[in-house]
Amino acid sequence: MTPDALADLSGTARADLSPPGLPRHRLSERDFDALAAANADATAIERLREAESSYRRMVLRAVLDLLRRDSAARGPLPPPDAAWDLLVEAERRAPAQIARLIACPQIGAWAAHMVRRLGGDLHDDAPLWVDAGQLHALAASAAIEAGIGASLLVPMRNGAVHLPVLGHALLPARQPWDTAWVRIPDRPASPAVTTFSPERADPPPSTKLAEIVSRNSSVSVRMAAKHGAPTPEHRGSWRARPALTAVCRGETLAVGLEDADPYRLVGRTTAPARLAPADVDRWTAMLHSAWDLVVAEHRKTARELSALIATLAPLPRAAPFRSFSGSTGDAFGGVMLSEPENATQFAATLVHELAHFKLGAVMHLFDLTDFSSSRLGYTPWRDDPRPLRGILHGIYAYFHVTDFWRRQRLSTSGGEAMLAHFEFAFWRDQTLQTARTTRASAGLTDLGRRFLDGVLVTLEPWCSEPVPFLAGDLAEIMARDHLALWRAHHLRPPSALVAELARAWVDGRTAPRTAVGAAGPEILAPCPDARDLDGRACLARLWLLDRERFRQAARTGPESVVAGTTSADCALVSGDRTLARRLYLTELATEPGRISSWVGLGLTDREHGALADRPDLALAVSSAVEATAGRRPEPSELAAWLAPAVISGNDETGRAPDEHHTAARPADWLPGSAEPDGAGA
Amino acid sequence: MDTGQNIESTLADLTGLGLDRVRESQDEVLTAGIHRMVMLICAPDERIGGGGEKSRLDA
Repeated sequence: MTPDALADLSGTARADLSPPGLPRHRLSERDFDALAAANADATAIERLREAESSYRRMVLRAVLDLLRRDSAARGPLPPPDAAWDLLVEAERRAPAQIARLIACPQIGAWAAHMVRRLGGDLHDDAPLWVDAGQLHALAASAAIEAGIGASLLVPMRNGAVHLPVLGHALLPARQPWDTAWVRIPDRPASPAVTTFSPERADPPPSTKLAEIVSRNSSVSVRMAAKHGAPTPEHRGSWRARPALTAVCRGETLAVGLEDADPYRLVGRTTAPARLAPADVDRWTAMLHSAWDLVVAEHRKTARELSALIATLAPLPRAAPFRSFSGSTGDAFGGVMLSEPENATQFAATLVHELAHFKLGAVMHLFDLTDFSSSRLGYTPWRDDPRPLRGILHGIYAYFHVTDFWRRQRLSTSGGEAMLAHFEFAFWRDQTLQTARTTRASAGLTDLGRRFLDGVLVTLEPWCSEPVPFLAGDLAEIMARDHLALWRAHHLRPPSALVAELARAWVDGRTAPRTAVGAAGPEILAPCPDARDLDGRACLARLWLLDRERFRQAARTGPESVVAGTTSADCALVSGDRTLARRLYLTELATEPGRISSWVGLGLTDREHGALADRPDLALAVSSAVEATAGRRPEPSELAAWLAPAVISGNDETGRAPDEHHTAARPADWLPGSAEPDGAGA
Repeated sequence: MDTGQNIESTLADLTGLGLDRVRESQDEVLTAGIHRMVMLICAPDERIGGGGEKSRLDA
């Protein structure tokens, strides 16, 4: 959106009827610090929810202003003020229901989508009026909630009419983009009319709330039913949005299972993907188990979740240990996530996204970073270089994830406990490193630094808490693994250094340590194909959690369980480093440029450590030597040759082999000193 | 250090404002808040980044 367009916003309002000097949101320093330290009370959480309520009303107002100025956005639908008039009337009659409706995460996602689209920042295949017309669908939902008799024309996408929060109808479609009438009879508003509660012994009979009519077909809008089963009718069906409610020890979690709203997924509009009743049952059972766990072990987190989370947008189950979840600041309270493998993973995902909600709200209120910063940096939880605001979000999310596993490891046993110890050690150390580096880097505001201080105040004492050696050792190796793979994919060593080292190798000289020390920083060249850099970490998790399943995967080929992994990786994570070394060398004999094999070999022992500390340099030198001499150096020989130049602090330190990796973490110099290299991006 | 002060946001507090007033108001505090909100929306979403499968981890 251009600055001019921005300046014009809100300039098209009617005569101002409001008193001058609206108040601004405020947060006490005490609440700000408590939020940073994950120690906020219910009042502070309520402040965030209120701020998001204002933010949502502002974005709706912005959409209205933009639609008023763009007659092309209306299409065959009435003017946007007609929808707003109905919203106003509905709010007067049923304020609580309308507040709940407007707070629906997908309303925020739609409104932000409209701001971007009307500002020219986004393209969508649907005609503009179809997107814009969702305002009328929102008004229809409001009228139904408030019991206001009305007839509204709303958009229909490939036969689907979606009424926010309530559900969707599927009707025969003659064309992709069409309209349908929503005819609503007058009736008294009732808080329970559109939400099914499993606590009721007998679900109320299906009451017809409205009728959706398109050409020669129609369906009845009915109140929510158990399982979210669709109600088929002649030439169409209505399906109320499934509502899940879990109650444990007086704590309640109520969420909508949003599988149909076109704005439920991040970054794109999506057709309905109705879950079958059996799927809804499975999600319900899993949510109950996860909620029991959260309430039992993480009571304060449970209360925050209860206050802030509103919808779950389900996605198919992901590969083991590679679950997917996401949320955005547009859609406060909405989570999209792959079907959880188990209750613990479900709970961890909710905790992760809760942190995003909280920080997202804080960042709507205050600037924690300098918006002009374009620097990218390393984070241990992503395969791609991250901007500073993304890094801050990751720190806060994994700070909460660390807290989750810190408690969780004390309430489980066997493989589950070992996995919990691993997760605690891994995320604790990685989050701490990233938070410290980011705290010292450019690009944060004073408030941003204050926020990270709060994170560190809580996180630092956890680092002295003991972890079983096996879990701690594997966590350290896997952290080193991810960093090495990230380096190899995204960093380019200075070309002059590579050339000098290649010449020294070909000439039979020792690697010039001074040249490495004097060389400038690596160049950040983001590789768009870098993904699944956590393969060995996934195998490590499997090994800790379920030894028998791991052995079976190792026998039949780990690729079938964790994509991109090999038998060498199985040997490494299970501690057979001699076998791992031999297998990695075999892999490199047939595929000399395989990055994962270079790094894996570097993780097997100290003699090969240079390959994990500076895989970017080792790979570049290997290629340069091949270009000059016609054949690549043997990897073990290259590792031994490079080691004195790239690894400092050797035998005299008396440390274990894995403690010798001293190559700079990219986070040590990113995001503080590197700009993305446009040519390589 | 907590000095007992409040930190003030640019964001207008609309929690007591009905939708009719939200539509009509030209209050400069609301205008400033809308400007901030639009700027945030139009900035790249740095939580997700990349799009597609790269958003598997959203931190």
